[in-house]
Amino acid sequence: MTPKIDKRTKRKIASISGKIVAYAILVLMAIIFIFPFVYALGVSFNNPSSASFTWLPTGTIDIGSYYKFFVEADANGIPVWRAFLNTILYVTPPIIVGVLCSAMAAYGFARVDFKGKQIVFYIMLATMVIPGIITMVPSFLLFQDVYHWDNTPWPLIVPGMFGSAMTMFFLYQYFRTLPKELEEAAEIDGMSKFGVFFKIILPLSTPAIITQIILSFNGCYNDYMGPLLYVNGEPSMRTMQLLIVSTQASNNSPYPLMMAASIVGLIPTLILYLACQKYFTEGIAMTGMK
Amino acid sequence: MVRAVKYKKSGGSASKKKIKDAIAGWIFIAPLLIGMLLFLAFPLGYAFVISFTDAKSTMDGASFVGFDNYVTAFKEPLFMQGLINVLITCIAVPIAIFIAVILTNLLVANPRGSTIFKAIFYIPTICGAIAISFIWQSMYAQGYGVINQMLKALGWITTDINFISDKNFLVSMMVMGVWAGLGTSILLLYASLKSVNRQLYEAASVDGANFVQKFRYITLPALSPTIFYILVTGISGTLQEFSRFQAMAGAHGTPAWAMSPVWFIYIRTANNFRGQATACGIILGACILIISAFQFVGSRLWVNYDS
Repeated sequence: MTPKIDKRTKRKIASISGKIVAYAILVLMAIIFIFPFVYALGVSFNNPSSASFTWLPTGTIDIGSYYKFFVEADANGIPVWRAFLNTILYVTPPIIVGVLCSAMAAYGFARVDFKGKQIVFYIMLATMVIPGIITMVPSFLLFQDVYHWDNTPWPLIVPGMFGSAMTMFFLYQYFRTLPKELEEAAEIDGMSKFGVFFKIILPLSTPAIITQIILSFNGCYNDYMGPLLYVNGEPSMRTMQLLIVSTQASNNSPYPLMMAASIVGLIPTLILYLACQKYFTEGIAMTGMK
Repeated sequence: MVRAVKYKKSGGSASKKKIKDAIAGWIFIAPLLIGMLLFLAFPLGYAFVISFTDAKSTMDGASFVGFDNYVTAFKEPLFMQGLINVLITCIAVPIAIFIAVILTNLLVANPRGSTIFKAIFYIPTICGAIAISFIWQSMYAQGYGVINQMLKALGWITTDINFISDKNFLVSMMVMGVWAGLGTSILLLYASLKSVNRQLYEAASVDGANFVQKFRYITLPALSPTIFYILVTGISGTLQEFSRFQAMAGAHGTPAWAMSPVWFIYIRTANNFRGQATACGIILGACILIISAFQFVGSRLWVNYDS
């Protein structure tokens, strides 16, 4: 009897110590993941015109960097609120209309039968492997020479409004998991495919749609290359990312100011992510890769 | 008679439904299809035209120069150095996957709090490349940067390391890259590991399999399609790095040790050598496609699509 209990106790100790080690690793990693943000916050509360800085709290909180970023921003050519408004104006149409177009196409491919569907679908999937860099300069020249969109934000807004193959594919995988019976019942009741899509499929797919909206918001909001190519020449059209970058000059890195700008720039994505966090992880899991 | 009429009727409405469905289907896919033709297919074809011309700021008045742009691209030391830099940086992709697989397993085995841990690991991925690079730049900074201070406090170094320099830049980028990209990998790996049938593990335990064997014969095969996806997209993304490289080393001008091919293409575009910039884009794109193709061929040896 005694050795049996010993064995069991031993195993229990092993499993408990295993758990302790696992959680120690996870907590350590969590600290490593959060620390840079805490550090940035600490540095941002330093005097922006001093060469030295410390990330540890010193008792006094110097909001000079934030003041400089918000109030003395004229040196950057554009005030913060304007850059933020620009960004929101540029990213909203591609997100809302773009995700809707992607969802429509996804539903068409997933649930409507028509000739030629398969070949178009596979071509669209194949385009996902094409590296974006190939079309970057040609698109730039097209927008400039053919559409005469140079120094306007249209190249940042219009292409995204048609949706993307990536988003379409994620939603396609999600729509395939929905039960068919609901749609069939609605169609027997005389509802058209469009009615089914807008009244049944979209409401059923809230987590997946929200996931895609967050992903495209992050992508558009954080985009740096696009605004740099298309609107950087016109200070009043600049975006948040261009404004953040402009806090650093060559051979001059005012870290407190750079940190203040970075943190202000992070807030919108962070709020959106935390607000929709529940939907988000659910959506990723359900549209997960196969 | 009645049957025939009925049959005819239903047959008629069936074909009517078919036409209706076809119209609806094409309407559903039309916006995306039009967008892809206008903003992907057209520029893609145009790229090859531009790359054979000496286009400066526009295509107006550009003349054909044959393969000149392609030949000179390979003679551009800055472009070549950029290619080497991003290829070296790709080392970080498998390292990040390795760490992500370990963390995912820890999370699945210890579900309590896993939601919070996943949320924390994911935070860097929602942040812009500029903010991330700036934050790490200040941590890497000499003198007051926390990493140098910590290493000095530990007694590992006596003089500050210049992390943003020719010798250390790529390693600094890799460390930052692992930190910034781990969240996505963990989320995807977690979703696919969760879908593995738990009974497989129990059955293996009954058969006397140890932890390593279970990992080798159950976990890895189950995760292999996701690992493959992360590997291909990760390498493709790394080869097209621009914002992080520029934001990290921008204060130093355009140094060769921090150059990336896309950065080079951007510089050439801004300096009105757009024919050459396009050719460089095609070369980089071809490199990525070739590397991806090799990964696909190689994946037959280790990726398991059975489950």
